Amino acid sequence: MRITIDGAEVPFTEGQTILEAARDGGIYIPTLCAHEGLPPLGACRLCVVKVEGMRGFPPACSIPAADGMVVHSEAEEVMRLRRNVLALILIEHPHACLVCGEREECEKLRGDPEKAGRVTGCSTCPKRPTCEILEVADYLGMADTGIPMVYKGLPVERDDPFLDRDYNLCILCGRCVRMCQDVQGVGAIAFTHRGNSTKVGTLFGRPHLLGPCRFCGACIDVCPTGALSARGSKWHGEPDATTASTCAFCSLGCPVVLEVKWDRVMAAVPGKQRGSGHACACVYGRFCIPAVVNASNRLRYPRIRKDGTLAPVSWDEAFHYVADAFEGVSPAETGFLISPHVTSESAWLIRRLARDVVGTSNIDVLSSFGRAVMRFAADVGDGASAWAGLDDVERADWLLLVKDDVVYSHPALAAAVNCARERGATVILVDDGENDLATSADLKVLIEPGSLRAVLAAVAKGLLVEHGDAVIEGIEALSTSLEGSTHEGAAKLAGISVECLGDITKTLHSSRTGVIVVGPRILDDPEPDQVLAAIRDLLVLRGVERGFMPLVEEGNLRGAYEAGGFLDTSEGDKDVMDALRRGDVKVLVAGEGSIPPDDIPEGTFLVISEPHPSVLDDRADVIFPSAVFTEEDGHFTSLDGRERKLAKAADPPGMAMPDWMITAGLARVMGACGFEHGSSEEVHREMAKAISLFPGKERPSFPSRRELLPIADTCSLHLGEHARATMRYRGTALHELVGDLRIYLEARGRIPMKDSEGSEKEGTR
Amino acid sequence: MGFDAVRKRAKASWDGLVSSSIPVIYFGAASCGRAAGVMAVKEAAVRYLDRTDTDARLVDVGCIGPCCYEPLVYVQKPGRPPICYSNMDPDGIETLLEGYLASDDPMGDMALGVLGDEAVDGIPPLFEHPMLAPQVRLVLRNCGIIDPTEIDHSIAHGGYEGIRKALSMTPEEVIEEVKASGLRGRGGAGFSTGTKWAFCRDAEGEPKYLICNADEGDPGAFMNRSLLEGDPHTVLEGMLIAGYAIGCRHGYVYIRAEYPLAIERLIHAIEQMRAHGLLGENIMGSDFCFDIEIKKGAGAFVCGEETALMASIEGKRGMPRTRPPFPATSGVWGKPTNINNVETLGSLANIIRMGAEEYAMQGSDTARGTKTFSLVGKVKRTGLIEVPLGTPVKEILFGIGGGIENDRQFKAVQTGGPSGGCIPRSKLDLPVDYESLQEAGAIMGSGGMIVMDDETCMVDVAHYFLSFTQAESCGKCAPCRIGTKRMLDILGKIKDGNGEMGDLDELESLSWTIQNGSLCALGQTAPNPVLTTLRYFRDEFEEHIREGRCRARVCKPLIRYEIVEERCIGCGACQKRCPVDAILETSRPVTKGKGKTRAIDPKLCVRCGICLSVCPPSADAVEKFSPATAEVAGGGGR
Repeated sequence: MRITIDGAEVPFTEGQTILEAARDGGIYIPTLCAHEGLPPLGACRLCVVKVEGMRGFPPACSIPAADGMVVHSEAEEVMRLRRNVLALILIEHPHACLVCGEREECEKLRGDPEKAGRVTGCSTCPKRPTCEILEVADYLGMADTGIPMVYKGLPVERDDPFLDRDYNLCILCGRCVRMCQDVQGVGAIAFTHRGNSTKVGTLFGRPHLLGPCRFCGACIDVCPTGALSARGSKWHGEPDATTASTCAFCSLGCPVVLEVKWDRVMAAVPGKQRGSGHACACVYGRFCIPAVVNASNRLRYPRIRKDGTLAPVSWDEAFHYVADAFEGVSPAETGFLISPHVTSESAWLIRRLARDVVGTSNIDVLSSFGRAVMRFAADVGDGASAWAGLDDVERADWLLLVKDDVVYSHPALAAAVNCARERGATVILVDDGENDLATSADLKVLIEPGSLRAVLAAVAKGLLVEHGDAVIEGIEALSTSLEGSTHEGAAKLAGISVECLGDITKTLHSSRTGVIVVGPRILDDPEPDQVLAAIRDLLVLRGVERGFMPLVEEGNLRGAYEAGGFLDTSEGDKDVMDALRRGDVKVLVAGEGSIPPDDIPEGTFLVISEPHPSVLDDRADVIFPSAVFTEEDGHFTSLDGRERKLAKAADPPGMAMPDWMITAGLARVMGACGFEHGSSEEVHREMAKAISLFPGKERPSFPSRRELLPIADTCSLHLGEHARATMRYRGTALHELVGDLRIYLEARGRIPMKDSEGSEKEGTR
Repeated sequence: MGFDAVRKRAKASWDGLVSSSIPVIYFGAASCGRAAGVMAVKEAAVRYLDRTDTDARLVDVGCIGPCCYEPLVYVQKPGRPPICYSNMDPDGIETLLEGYLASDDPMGDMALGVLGDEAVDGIPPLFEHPMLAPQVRLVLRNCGIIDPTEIDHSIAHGGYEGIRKALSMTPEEVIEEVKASGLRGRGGAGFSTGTKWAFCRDAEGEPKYLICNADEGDPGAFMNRSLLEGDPHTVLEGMLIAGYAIGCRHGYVYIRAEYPLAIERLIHAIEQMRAHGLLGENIMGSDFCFDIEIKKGAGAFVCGEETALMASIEGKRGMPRTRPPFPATSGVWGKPTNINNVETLGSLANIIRMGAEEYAMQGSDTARGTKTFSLVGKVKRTGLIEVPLGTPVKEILFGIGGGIENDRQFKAVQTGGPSGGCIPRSKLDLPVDYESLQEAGAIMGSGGMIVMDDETCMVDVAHYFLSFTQAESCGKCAPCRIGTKRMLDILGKIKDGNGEMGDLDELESLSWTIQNGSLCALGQTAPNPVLTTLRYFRDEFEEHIREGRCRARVCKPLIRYEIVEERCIGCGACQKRCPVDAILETSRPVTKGKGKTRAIDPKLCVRCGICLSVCPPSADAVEKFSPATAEVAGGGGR
């Protein structure tokens, strides 16, 4: 199928608009309100065209292309209409740039507004480097409109964290509104007022902190003007370089583009999500990366304890100090706890150091919920194929969310849930308390605490009954506890109606394409493994393929496990944490400082590799300054088993190094061979060869059940208040490093308000 | 109970009223009557009846049309037809009842006419009144006659005969019948109703929805309100017919919340329909099932635009969207939807009952049937009227309307509200139909007719209508949101006497941009009042700009007030009431009597006009002139 635009034939696919066909065909049609991934609005009227056989000037963004359609985009009266409309838009948009005498000079320096500001005395708009109005004006040959500008004189809205909103620059294209409502599913902003007073506003005109905004920043990323901007980076201008990488905070592994200026990562914007059309944005990935990686407290030098204080030393001295400590103890008296935020390459080398060089199997990953679900997943199907990703959520027919904190633990998933719902999926939320995703649920099931197992088992039982005699693979594995389960009993226990349980059962029975999303708060349940057993039953009954999504928080938990951090119980390994508490571990190497200090007996030789200071620093004998994820190349494995690339965007501060280099350096000092890798790529190749995990394989192999401890044991790994966890990176809560994030989380009641003396903060530094 | 039995009972109920053995007093109690004070009149009547211990039935009816004569009261004595009395007040009703009920004097001097074919005691039939005689009342046939809260009254007057007949036809036959009647949308655009239905019937997707657009928002228009208040069943029956023809099960009435009485009437009527088996499952024993839901608008003019209306029904902000897809294929809730105006639906029962052929005998070649108009402004007889399409403007204004108030000069008539335009004196012979009005730069619109005399400034008129559309723009698309504001600013500048000749070109250029660039009909038609006034009254604009003169003496900055010294009687009323102390006592004695004359200091005067209104009519010493300074035009208009 083809359409003709200004004489050129352009192919198009069913459902495309004239504008989309033109863009794909390389034909420019100006527009300020249309945006990829957003439903058309038809508000700016700049994409108007002439279509033969149609009356008037239809907007190309809203009219579906039809075979044989003849479109005139550059006809004289079309261009005249566009110029007139743009002139009207410019009445309300400060546009001195268009007619500024210094424009040519400014053009040369456009990438650096601060500098341009000094030259031209102009620094009113943060969007100058990427202003879309300038682009359209240039195309239309607009210089002066001849109409006086009307400055609205609205106060700039700065009472929220992260965002500045200057509606004096707003042209009401509605992209932010559509992004917030239609894509993110939040609806924190909408058009308010009418006529010439129309503006974009918040709920009752109150700050976003008091409304539903999740500070994902997606509104900023689609704003064509400087009306919406990120306060932290608005005046940086164009970056010197950009690096496509992966956000390492949570386990979704969203693509992110790191913007580098002055040799530092100054901003991060969402990259294009694989599969789905829209970019995933969240408060952590959009706003927290620069503050975390550029934190003023970043550790720069290796330090060893000398006369009671930690003194900076050379890497060599530090390595020798640790090597000496290993000399004095038996392999069984050593322990390694890997951070779930290090690269898979680093985890691999730590495994080799522990097992091959030191000779111990006391090695584990620091994550309680992570361990529980790794063990559990091994129990379901073939272990590897049960895990769902964002794209599975987006195309699901139903979603069962169990005690999740998606809005705070995996914000990008909240948007995917909305996409699924927009598409017609039924969203069921089961929780025993408040849940910020409740507004997005079709069925909100508030249950009594402690009744989760009964509810899930009753649904499983219901599904079993629905199945009748149909043969179900793995049905023999169904937990015997389903025997006594009834809808009536469960409903009574949970304080919900029998009909409600029936509705859940009916929804789950309606389609096999669904995802069960499980939050870490199930560990609060008196019988967490029974809850997981009931979830397994549901998965078996509904087909386990890509239907399970445990909300593991840490970015590379899966990669860290797969690269070798799990216990092998068959060889009689002990739980490292248990051994530590008993005093059996004399030398402990930890990848982050999140271990409760009380669990570490006096006299333990403690080595911590970390990018930021932690509470354990007072107890540490050696501290290795480690690089963060923007400072090294390497790989992560996201929750759904996909390997994601990390790319180095900036150098680590001081003498800090990636963990794989630290590990290799230590191993070499300890006299080990085979640690002479020149790059993380070399480590990756070695790892791939050894455990045939990664390259080219979508679904890597997975630890078998026998390789993991039973859940009851993993509870001993419980790391303080994990139930309402806040986003952490290498053991440090992000809100400790990002002041605006603290304001947001405090307003949402996720963290306690800091008192005036700042006592909440005390002890973490 | 079958419908025949229902009808029989209804007829008995109506006959019981008409042949009542006690007097029946009917009150024209639509919103217009209530605004004129009919409820106080009714209270006075109740007091009188209580005091005199007189037995009588009181019945509230809708509006029969001549709003200028309201409050209207009809008194029916046993054996006589009701006699209509106009301009009632609480004292008047006592006099009337005392005279007619107690003394059997029909009080001919208070009467407007008899609701019957014969004169009574010299009181002529009401429908021979010059305001009513030229009208053809089809849609409004029951308005002001029946009690709108009594479904029996409606049924006794042929109500629900239309749907009964329709149900004996196939839906396709009903559509063909409506096509054959030549009925075109009464909401303004004038699209063939039957054709529109066929699109929706043929569209894929279930369920299908029917919407009655009762979001009447044009300033000065009240046709839909009056019909819904006076005879809701006619409209609801039309919805049944449309629903049956299109294949809908669900209908919405989208009505503005500012019409509380109409909403009350609808709710009541819908309950009655349900009780009579005229709504719900298996209507009249057929397979046809239909239900109606009322949705109240929140007071946005733009929600009369069909796509905005549908967004509003869905609970969203009422903003129009681009078509295609058209509502017929993807409307409310994304399903095929048919939207018709109140009056379109109100015409259907007649069409089916009378047959398309008979209906089509009314009207002109391109526009069949009748159309209701609200006739308001500077005309002697204002009110709601119904005439065959194609009736010349002149006949409406000077026949039904009785000419211009105070016998001033006719200047223009605005049709179609803020989307329409002005028709000048030179076009008085224009037949009122869709095409003729469009050609003249106006539109039929939903039926508002605002008459203007020579005291109306056309720049001011353009400014007024544009300020309305500008304030009611939804703000979505740039041309409408910003362009109308720019036009309004320019018109304001001209009104203030600061205009330049280039402004007129800019107005025309902006109009072109807004007409062609706007997303919906609100924007596309917003410049019409400006363009028609520029087309027919350009000289007035030019006078404002070149001479600083407003010939209608409306634009304040261009006028001045003067006290004519020879006529001033020195009473000082103006001086006392002047809010800015701009009036001073001079040293010159008045020509007659004692005292000194007064004079206005033009520098202090704010042109409020209070002096003019308080000057004793016997003196009539204050005069209004334009331009504002006497020197400019050599002494002004004195």
